[in-house]
Order: sequence, then structure tokens, then C-alpha cells
Amino acid sequence: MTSVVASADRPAANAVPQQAKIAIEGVTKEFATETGGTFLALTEVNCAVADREFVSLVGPSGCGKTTLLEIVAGLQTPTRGRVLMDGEEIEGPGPDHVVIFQQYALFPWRTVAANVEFPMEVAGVGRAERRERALENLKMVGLDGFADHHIWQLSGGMQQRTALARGIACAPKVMLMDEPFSGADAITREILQDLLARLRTETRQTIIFVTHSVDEAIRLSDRILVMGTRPGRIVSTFDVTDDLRAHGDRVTELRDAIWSVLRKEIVPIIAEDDRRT
Amino acid sequence: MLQTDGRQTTGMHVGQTLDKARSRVWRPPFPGWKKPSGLLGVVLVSSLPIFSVFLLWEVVAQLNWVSASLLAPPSTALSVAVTYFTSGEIFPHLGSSLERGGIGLALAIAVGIPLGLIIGFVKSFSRALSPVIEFLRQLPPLAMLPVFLLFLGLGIRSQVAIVLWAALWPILLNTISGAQNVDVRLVKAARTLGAGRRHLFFKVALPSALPTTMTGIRLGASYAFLVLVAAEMIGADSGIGYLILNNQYIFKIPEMYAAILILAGFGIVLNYSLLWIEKVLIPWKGRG
Ligand SMILES: Nc1ncnc2c1ncn2[C@@H]1O[C@H](COP(=O)(O)OP(=O)(O)OP(=O)(O)O)[C@@H](O)[C@H]1O
Ligand SMILES: [Mg+2]
Repeated sequence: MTSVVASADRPAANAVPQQAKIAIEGVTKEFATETGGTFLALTEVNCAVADREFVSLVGPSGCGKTTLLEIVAGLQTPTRGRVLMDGEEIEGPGPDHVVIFQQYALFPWRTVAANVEFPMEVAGVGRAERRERALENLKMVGLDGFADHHIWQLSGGMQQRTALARGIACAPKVMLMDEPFSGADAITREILQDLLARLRTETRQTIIFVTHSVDEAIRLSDRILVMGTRPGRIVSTFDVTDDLRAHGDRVTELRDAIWSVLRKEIVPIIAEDDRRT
Repeated sequence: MLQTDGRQTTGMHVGQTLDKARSRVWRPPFPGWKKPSGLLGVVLVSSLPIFSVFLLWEVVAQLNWVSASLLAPPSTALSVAVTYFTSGEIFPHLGSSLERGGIGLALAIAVGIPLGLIIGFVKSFSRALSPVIEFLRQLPPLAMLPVFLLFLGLGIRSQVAIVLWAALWPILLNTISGAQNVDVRLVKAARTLGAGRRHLFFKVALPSALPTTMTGIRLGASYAFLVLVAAEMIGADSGIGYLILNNQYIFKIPEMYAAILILAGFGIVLNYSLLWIEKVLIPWKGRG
């Protein structure tokens, strides 16, 4: 997997579609504060995600991971900069860059299958076809036989599988995932990680994955972007390969390297908070 | 309301199992108390207080602690109530109360739900209309009766109008708040799944608002019920409310109490039917 090096000064016209699936160019996000000032949540974020690449974002809480992901999703607009998908600017949310949320966000009034059918339904796919495709998608996540269950009858892990199946049903160009497994217990989490890894090989999906867990990031990604805070930005990039994953010592080395970057980002926050209190 | 929904609200905890979600904690009212088992036990326990009230009423009336011209014993009232049914005398009154109440409530639902959804969904609407709604809802329905009588005359039309007025506000306001308080996460999810504004309205806001709307309907129905009885006493020549008051005018005291009992039964049936409808229509309520 070749990782594309992003730079802010690359003119937009050169953003050749085949090169980057997602190009984040100079994204800055400011929020208005209650006191009338502005809070800089993200500054000058540049990054390119190649087709079929699995990129993880890790970073301390509050560094802007969700904000960045929602900007890519089109749910928020950047104050400056832009995000391109296949060379075209993302202008709003849509099924080709669907988001999988931490809290599943399933519709409680719909059955499992009806939840998976939702994106096809709003896209105008006929009843029989979308049912058939929903069943296929449910099979992919190991939920065959649960199609007509109600959401509240499912465990948390099964709910997240349903959300995954619903995301796949969008046949997205890129799947954006915001800490999708952090609500799950350790065992469920492992199972869901395996499932995602398998789905990814099956669907050859491009994925941007936000996580708090360095181990999870190492396990799943091709590339890990470590974000720093105050203001939120990307501070380091690490490549991960299957070869590396096969060697326990190299994994430990990588984990230590990531943690040493993270520690540098966390310590100033703690010091600053201490000064405040 | 006569009975509140006792189901527990459970969040979407991860790993929440089927059994956990369904389990209900039962605490004894005092130590040593055993949980009533079986249908018979449940019926016994829940009917004990009401039975005591009837017993007290019976004793007070039978011992003539209160004059018979004021209070009839419940046994007499009940047997008169039964005769009301066997003779068929009650049906015209029940029928007209049901007709007025039913049409009024149906109209309130037909107006309140779509209007409430639109007002709640479109922010500029709710900002523009909320002062008007706040003002109108403050007008007590019975204060509006003279106005309705003036415009619509004595008869079914003004009775329906007052029921509509009473039931509309809780339905409308609950629907507005339901449509305004849609879970943002669901809206975000729907948008990333490709839902447009029309889909958000019909496939997210509408079902999201349904539980609160249903509470509004139950509230509206009980207001409508109260107001209808009062209105029938003032400006009608049939209906249960009319029957109660008329029996009092002509000193048919047992008949008056019989009519009151029938009214109470009517209210109970109404409430339980609405609870049942709610359960069928909104099975996900209170289950995250
Ligand atoms: N709508 C908003 N208005 C104002 N400030 C916001 C808003 N959304 C986020 N922020 C701020 O921006 C910063 C980044 O938030 P964000 O949710 O993106 O962090 P995060 O990295 O996802 O954190 P976590 O790991 O805890 O989920 C935080 O300091 C947060 O307080
Ligand atoms: Mg976050």
C-alpha cells in the first residue's frame, strides 16, 4: 500500500482522482465561544487517504478527532480549507461517505433488517430488492436470523454489527468510523475488530477510523495519524504493515513510539489544567 | 390519568441482555409481604382499595348516616346502572357522548399531529407561532363554551368544538416538543445515510415524536372527557353529563349515582384502550 503524502501547497487542480480517495486540505475549524471569542479546534490539517487505505486517527480526548471526521462526513463545515473525495469537494453528508457512530444510532422503531434497508429506501430501491440486499449485508456481519428482531432485543455488540451492515448497505466510497467499538467490552471489541478486518478484505473498503486505543489502531490500520491538541492538528504519521504485525517486538516498538508522541501531547494539557485549578 | 406507564426506561447499555432489559424490580410494600402470585392474587390486591371505598360508601348509606335524598348506596346505584343497560335507556346518552367526544378527539388528532410536526420541525415556524399558541392554550375550554354556543348554536357542533379545543393543546404541544427533541444522533445518522429533508420529516421526526404525541393524546382524551361532561351539563339535551345533572334536577338520586358510575367506567375503559393502543403502536417506547 502506498501512502500518499499530503501537502497544503499542492494546488487543487493537481488533485488527481485516482491519487487520493480523500484529500483533506488545510482544514481549520473555529468554534464561537460563549464569551464572544473563537476556539481553535483544528488548525491546518492536511492529509490524503488512498483508495482502499485504512487510516486511523488517534489522539487525546478533545483534540478534534470527531470534529475532523464530521467535517469529512459533511456534517460540519470547515472554517477554512476543504475536503475532496475523488477530487470533488464534499458539500454535505451522503451515503458514499457514510459514518458509523459510537452509539450505533439505530432507529428504535425499525427492525434490524428495516434499519439496514434505510439507506436503500431513501435512495428509492424497490422493496423486494432492498430486503434481499439487507439480508445479504446482515449475513456478512454474522446476523443472519436476526433480521426481524427489534433493536432493543440485541446486545450492544449486535447493535454495532447492525450499524455496520447498514453502513455497508450504502456501498460507500469511504467509511468514516468514530470510535465504533469503544462502547463494547473487551471480548466483544476483539470480535468486532476481527469482523471489521474481514469485512475490509471482502469489500476492499477505504476507511477512516477514529479510536482512543493505540492497540486497536495498530491491529487494523495501514497508517496511523497521531493528533495533538490545543490546537488540534496532526503531529505524526506511522505506517503499519502485516509484516510488522507479525513481529511482536516491532509491534511493541511501534506502540512505544506512538505513546511517546502522545505523552508529549498529554503532559502539557495536564500541566495547563493543573495551573487552572 | 388513571394509570401511569410503569415500564422502566433502560438506556442502550452495551452488553445489555434480553433478560436484563425485561427484568423488573419488585419491592414489597412492607417486610414479610409476599408478592401476589397468579391472576387471582393480582386481581385481589389491585381491587382491594376500591372494594374498601365501596364498602364504606355502602355502610354510610345503609346506616342512614347521610340522608337517602343525598346519597344512595352503591348496591342500589349498581343495580340501577345495570337496568340502564338492560332497558337500553343508557344507549342514546352513551352514543351521543361517544359521538361528540370521538369526533372532537379525532379532529384534535387530525389537526394537532400534522400541525405539531410542522411547527416542531421548521424552526422559524415554532419561533413565529409559539406566542400565539402560548396565549390560546391559556384560555380554559369552558370559558370558550359561550363563544362556541354563540357561533355554532346549541347542539353537537359546539360540543364537538369544545372537545376539540380541550384536546388540541396537549396533543399539539406534545407533538411540537417531540418533533423538536429528536435525537441529534439519529438525525446525523439519517443524513449520512442519504436522507433528505422530506425523509427526515417522515422517517425520523414523525416516528421520534410518536411516543410524546401519544402521551399528548392520552392527556387530551382525559381533558376532552372532563370538558365534555361539563359541557353536556350546560348546553345539551342528551349525553352522560346531561343525564347526571338531569337526574339530580328530578330527584332521581340512585339514577344520578348510577350515571356517575357508568361515567367512571367509561373513563376507565377509555384510558385502558389508549394505553393498549400505545403499546401496540409504540413497542419501542422506554426501551432506548
Ligand atoms: N459544537 C461545538 N462548539 C464548541 N466547541 C466544540 C464543538 N464541538 C467540539 N468542540 C470542541 O472542540 C474540541 C474537539 O472536540 P472533538 O469532539 O472533535 O474531540 P475528540 O477528539 O473527538 O474528543 P473525544 O476523544 O473525547 O471524543 C473540544 O475541545 C470540544 O470542546
Ligand atoms: Mg470524539
